Amino acid sequence: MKKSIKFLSLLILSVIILSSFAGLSGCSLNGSDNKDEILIGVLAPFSGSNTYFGNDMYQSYELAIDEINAAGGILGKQLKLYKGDDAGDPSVATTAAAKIISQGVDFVVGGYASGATIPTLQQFYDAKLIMLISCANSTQITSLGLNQTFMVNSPGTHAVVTLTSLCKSLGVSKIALIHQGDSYSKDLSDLCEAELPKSGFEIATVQVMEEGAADVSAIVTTIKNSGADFVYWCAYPPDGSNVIKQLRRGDYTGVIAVGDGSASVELIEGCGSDGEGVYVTSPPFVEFAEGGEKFVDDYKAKFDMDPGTYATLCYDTIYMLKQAIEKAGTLKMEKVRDAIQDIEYKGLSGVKKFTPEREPEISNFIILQIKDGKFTLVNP
Amino acid sequence: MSLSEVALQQLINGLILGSFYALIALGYSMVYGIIKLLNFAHGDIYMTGAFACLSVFGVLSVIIPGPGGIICSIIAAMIIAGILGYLAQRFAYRPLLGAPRLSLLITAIGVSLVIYNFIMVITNGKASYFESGLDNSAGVHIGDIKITYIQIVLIAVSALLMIGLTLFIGQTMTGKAMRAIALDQDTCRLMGINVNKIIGITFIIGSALAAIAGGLACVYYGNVQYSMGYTMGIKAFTSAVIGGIGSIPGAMLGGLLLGLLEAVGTQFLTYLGLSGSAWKDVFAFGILILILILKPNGLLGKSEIERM
Amino acid sequence: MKFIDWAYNMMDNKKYKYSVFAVIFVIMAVIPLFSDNYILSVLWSALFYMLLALGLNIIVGYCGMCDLGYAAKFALGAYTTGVLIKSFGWNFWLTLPVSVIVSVIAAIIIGAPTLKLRSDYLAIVTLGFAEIVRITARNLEITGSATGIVGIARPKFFGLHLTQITHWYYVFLFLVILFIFVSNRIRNSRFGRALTYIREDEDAAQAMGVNTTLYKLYAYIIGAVLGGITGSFYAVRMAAISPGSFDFTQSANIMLAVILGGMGKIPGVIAGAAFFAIFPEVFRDVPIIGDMRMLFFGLLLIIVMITRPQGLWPERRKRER
Repeated sequence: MKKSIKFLSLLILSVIILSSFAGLSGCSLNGSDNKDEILIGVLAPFSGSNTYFGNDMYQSYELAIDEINAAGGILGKQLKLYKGDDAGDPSVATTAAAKIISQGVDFVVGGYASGATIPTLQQFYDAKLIMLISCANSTQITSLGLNQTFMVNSPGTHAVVTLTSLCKSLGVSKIALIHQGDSYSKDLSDLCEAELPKSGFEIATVQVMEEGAADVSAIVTTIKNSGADFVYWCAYPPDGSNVIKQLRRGDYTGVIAVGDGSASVELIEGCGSDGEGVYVTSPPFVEFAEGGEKFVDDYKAKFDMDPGTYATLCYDTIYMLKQAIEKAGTLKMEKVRDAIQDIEYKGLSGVKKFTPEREPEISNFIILQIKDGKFTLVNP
Repeated sequence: MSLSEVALQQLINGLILGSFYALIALGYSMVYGIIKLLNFAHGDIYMTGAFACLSVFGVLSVIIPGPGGIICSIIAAMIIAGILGYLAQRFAYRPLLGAPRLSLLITAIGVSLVIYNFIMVITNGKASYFESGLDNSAGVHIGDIKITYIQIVLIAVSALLMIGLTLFIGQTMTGKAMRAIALDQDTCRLMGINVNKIIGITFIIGSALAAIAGGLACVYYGNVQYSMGYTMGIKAFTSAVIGGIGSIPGAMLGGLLLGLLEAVGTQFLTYLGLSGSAWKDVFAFGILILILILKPNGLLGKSEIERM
Repeated sequence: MKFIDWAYNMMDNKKYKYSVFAVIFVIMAVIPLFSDNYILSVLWSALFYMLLALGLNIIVGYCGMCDLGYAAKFALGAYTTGVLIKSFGWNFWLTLPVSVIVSVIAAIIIGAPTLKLRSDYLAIVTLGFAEIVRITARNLEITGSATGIVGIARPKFFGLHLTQITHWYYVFLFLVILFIFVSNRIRNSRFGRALTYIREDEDAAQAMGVNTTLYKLYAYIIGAVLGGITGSFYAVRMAAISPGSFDFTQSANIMLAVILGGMGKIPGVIAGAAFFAIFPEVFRDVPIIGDMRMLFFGLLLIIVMITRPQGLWPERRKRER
């Protein structure tokens, strides 16, 4: 008798635990015009090593959404964000995507690391959701051919075009590439390796710096020995500043440039005086954008910190969505999708139009150079 | 650069990296030698040391700028890391000394998670940058080969530390006690050796060495990030095994060897037409497996009985 | 702790064991009827971790070998399937035997020369091998380099196209039951008892005439094959695999699941894996704690290990007569 009571209690306990899971999900209404708010899922890294960027993205979305809500919302509906933490990891990302979908969101924005973003796209597609990728720009994204996925940031191919013009204007000939073996930087490096020789440049060597590795002196010596007069760093700032410092301390005298992943004030902070003269093929940098000062002031006032590299792109993503929804006059996925496809939106990061492959038609890349500890705009 | 100059420059590069590996590997090896624990948290103690050095110097540089401030900061980092290592030993490892070794290993992973995530939360996941005010690129040139003054100091400091540690373990009573505990803990207790105290000292010394490595990395590379201990930890662990874990000279040899393998491997594989640095870890780990197959106890590891 | 002990005794009691299993099974089987995709996705990842943990359990739990590179075994299966489907257009079900063969070959190559080594050295060799596999996958073009393989075609099962999470939930649930069955059979066989002997005292086992190196190799191969099969299914479930999913953290997580739950004990291993998959999800959105969840997780690990060094649910092997 006693034992069967214990057995029963164990059974009840397990049912409670399991049903509490079912309770976690909350109500799930699917996207329709009948709700009085528009729920936007944000897929970004809110934990792990890219937390800073995830938070910056979220804050930029938040800024845009608060402005829109204060001005009356879209189609009279208020906007709301829902966080999905992909932790920069593919398998966490698919769970986060499922979570976002099960919340009954109407649209999804975000996507920082390409590697974590790509596996989720099919899920959003199957759930009939539009995904606007604000940051991730690996060309693998559009190669999936999902017509509900739009890349707001210029893909790597645009970066290469900008890089080619920079190299031409500097008159260099032998180029060394360094990437970090992750999806984004490897993709950029591969594109450079394929495209630059077409314009007559020689790829001297391609090297890989493992993420977080302290010492790159072996790579520095290899690059010096390869005779490269131009080094292009394809990955992110903390390691990038380390590479730049060690290149300069190893007496490397050629030109150094970094890709859009490193286009951040963190790079300047990290390099110190060794960063002088480094070129950046950068996404639209807010300080140089029309109306950018107001954005920076608002951002600072709201979050008490400087906006990050992708702030304008994320901010524009929301406003672009607003324009598309207003044009479509409904939240119906097909209508909004077509409206985005045909959009011509002008924002802080330049004019956005989409190619049939749903990549931005106009490159938003600019060239910056570090001078006196500040980014300055260069027109090649 | 001529071929011999490139080779020599890569040897220097490897030596510098190797000294870092060696300093950290010493901690792994000492702890393993004495309680047969793969102290997974050691890489994170190195990272904590670097952060401690950075923060202390941030405050201290106002009063004592330049080399004096750096030395004081590294000493402070040693103390902080030593305390951390002792606390980990006291509260996480000591209760488990009689337990299965795998549980001890898991506890070490737990300690590593705690330190790693604690630093990640308080730094918000962002990297910090160390400005020593020293001229990092000043150095001597021999042909196209360059050695910076900091590199010379670095190698000298590591060499001194290693000699000092060897003397300490070989000559002092505490060192003798450590070697004795490595052989047989129970007998040591019978002989009146305070085993827990000696184990504590081992952790403190190992952690302090890691903190020195952290402080030097802070000055030399300038980048300090919460994830820096992970790669370094795994590489140092590998070095300790190559040299024969539990053996002090082995840890030094293993560290230097791994550093050289990586530097020379990068250059050599690039000559072969590959992207050298992409494959250097495959090269290094491949050689590690080869060494272990040929010499199952590592290069200088002796048979089961003799340790430390 | 008293309650836990009581619960274990309950489960160890034959009379209740099967009814409890039956109840859990029925609950697991009907969950998809009244839960949404997110819950299913979390539960799916729990099932997925269970598969990996059950595979590693043969190596670590039964035989006491320290394998820190289990992600490599599952990467090999995933990449074999991924490459064969994507580059050669194979049918998924035909890739399974190939992935088993690849796992066996890899296990022999890495296991045969190294299993004679001390267990700590085995740890570093497996770790090194895992890094080699990951970096190779990252560098080669056929494995999709850093992005990995995307758009792997989902298979059909008797005409049913397996695309929904519900499908995969049931597929993995079935696999878990299959793996439990296999593990149980091994555990209760002569071979399994020999493995336990090796784990408890290798020298004594050898003295009693157990060919320890060979048995360890067998255990290693079985573990690798289970990992390979899991990897193959993982590849088609995710439809995308990338080197980032097979790093050291992954290996460490699987290892932790096995040891936290209780080495060698099948329900323990399953509980450990479930805990591992579900714990971070539950705390992900709790403010402040969400950011520090891994910190708490580390603390929890330490506390559990200190209070229960054999794992939450250790194996108590009874005399078998």
